[in-house]
Amino acid sequence: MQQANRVKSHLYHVKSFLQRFALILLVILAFGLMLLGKADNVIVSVGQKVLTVVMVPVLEVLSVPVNAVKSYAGDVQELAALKEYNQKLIAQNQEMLEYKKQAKLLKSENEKLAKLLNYKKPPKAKSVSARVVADPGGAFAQSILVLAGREDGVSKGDVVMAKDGLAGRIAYAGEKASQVLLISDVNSRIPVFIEPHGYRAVLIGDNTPKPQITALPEKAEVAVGDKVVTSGDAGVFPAEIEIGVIESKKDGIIKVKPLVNRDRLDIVNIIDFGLKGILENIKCE
Amino acid sequence: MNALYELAKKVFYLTAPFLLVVFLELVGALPIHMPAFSSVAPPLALIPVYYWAVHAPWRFGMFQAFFSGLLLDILFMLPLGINALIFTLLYYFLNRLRRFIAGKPFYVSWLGFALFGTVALMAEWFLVSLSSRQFIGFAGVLISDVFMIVVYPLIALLCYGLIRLSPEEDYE
Repeated sequence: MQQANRVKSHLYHVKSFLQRFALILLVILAFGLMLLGKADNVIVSVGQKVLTVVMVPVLEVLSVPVNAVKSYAGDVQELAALKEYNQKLIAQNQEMLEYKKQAKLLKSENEKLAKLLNYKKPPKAKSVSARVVADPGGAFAQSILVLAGREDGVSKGDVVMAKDGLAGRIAYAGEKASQVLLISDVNSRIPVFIEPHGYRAVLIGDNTPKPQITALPEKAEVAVGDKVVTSGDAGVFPAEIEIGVIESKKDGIIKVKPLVNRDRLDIVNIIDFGLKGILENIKCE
Repeated sequence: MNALYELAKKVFYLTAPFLLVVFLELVGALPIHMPAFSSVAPPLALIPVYYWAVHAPWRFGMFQAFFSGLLLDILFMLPLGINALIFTLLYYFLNRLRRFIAGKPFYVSWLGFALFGTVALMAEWFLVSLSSRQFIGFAGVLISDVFMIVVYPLIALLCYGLIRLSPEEDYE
């Protein structure tokens, strides 16, 4: 009886101590996490593991009704435009057949020239398709979670493409799911070429849907509508992947409209081009 | 059987406010596919944290506010600790000032949320910018803030309903 009272008294003291110093304790803990999270990869990877292991199954369940509604809405829209689609497809098919003939000729010519030059081909890219299971919206988050992980051959640094162009790269590969850093994220830096002149620059995200161009040569003149593609510098992305077009130039700020529409990201293609660039030395969890 | 029902009721009483916050955080992370919505989606979880801090702090403590924020950081892949700090400080100040808001007409609570919610978002904008050493887009934060203030009555109604479902008198 006495022991039970002693335990109760201890618990009461611990509780009142915690209540009194809760604010200081939690504020220190939060600042500690912020500082350590910057320096220590272990803490961040624990968070990422919680996200991919614990939350992904819950998100999968919750996304069922959302996907169902989206699917029905899509079906209705498609039905309404069926005739128009059909005509477009017939025209496209004709065009493709012409391209196929030209491609065959070019392929055989290319093979002959490669043989003459003794050209060594780069490794074949491996790709995996994955569904987007979480898209944390808001002004502060520009990353998505996809349902493919190390089990499917995905690894940190892999390139993530949507059907229109570059979407981002794998920031963390979990067992079954992976985190994608979108090109619009504030931490994204991509070396690019601006075509048609081929100026080198860097595309940086600012957490808005339209990333900015920086580090452009002083005398470079770019115009609205110029195409932005990866340059392949730093060896993270291969060259010539389409990103977007220059949308505006105002007060020295050049904004790029990505070809990929984040709101329509549903299925993405994760491609391992065999390039790990500067990420090669960073240990992947 | 009656004891089991009572236990279930008590567990619901103790966990429902926190679970509502977690649920709204998860809903906020779902891909909605609405044009131009992703970059301005409101942080819904801030609403119940405000509501519990002002109207029922005995059901949702500072530690729960901290862990809700931490979970949001993990889920939204933000630098760890940012939302944990904001939710904790928001809870603390609201708890101190709740006598000016609790028990008053609904519009006072709404105005209070407009003020504190805006301050919380500005703080988050500042901390995220500081963490990335670059100012992030501000317009999206403002639109997100407006959305959040507009949906406040809906979530507040949900919180109110939750309180009515398991009144605290049962556990006094």
